[in-house]
Amino acid sequence: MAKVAFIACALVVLLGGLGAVALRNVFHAALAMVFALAGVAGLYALLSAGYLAVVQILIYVGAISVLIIMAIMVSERFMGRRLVSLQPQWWVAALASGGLALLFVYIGTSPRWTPGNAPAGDLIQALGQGLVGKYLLPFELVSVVLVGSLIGAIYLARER
Amino acid sequence: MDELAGSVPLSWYLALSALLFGLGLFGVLARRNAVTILMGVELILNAANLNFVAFWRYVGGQSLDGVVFAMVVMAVAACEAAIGLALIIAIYRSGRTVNIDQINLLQG
Repeated sequence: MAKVAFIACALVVLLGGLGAVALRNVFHAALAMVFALAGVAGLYALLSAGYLAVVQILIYVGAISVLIIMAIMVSERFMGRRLVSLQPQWWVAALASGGLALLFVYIGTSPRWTPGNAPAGDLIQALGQGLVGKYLLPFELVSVVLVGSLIGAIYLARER
Repeated sequence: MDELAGSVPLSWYLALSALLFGLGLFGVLARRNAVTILMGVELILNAANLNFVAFWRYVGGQSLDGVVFAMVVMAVAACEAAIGLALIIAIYRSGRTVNIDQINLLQG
């Protein structure tokens, strides 16, 4: 049963990713990417990380995808229809990325992993205690990075 | 949900994340529009996150390292998308193009 759910989510992810990198219409590619990110959220839920699935939907589908679609709307108005969406040497990129992906697939599937049990306990409670305990430094550093990027993005995109 | 997830082998998740990484890499290398290149980068980051969470679930023990790492990666990806898109908007405002072949003012 879990395999069926995994295969469904994996198909959504792979087809969405394929659409995101190969569709000619940029807006359609952005929508395909939204599907792929939602599929990854389903995989997080299947991996007993339900909190991460919700955070994935919030951040990626809710914020980053909206940002990307907004940037497409701003930049596509005067560009008109584009005839070709890929570089002329796209087959070189396909060979290189396909070869690297196959290498990673081989690396990932060759060892015999011994699976353990799922981490016990409530994930949200453990994360709450961890983020102010053991993982306080990454938490604060990420806050600094967020503030810096916020200021930087506002400054870069201001009206001249 | 834990009993459900245990029947899917870890190698399936690793293979899926490898394929997603390959797709994102192709998007970064072979696309012309700068926004679609950023979309490929987001796919790559999601593939790495999937790897983190899969390893946390299957061989992670009792620590939260995988999940916290994935959350930090998500936050940094959001920052990088925001700044990248602000850059693209600024470039579009000054040059009226997002085709990376035509953004060549620094060409030597």
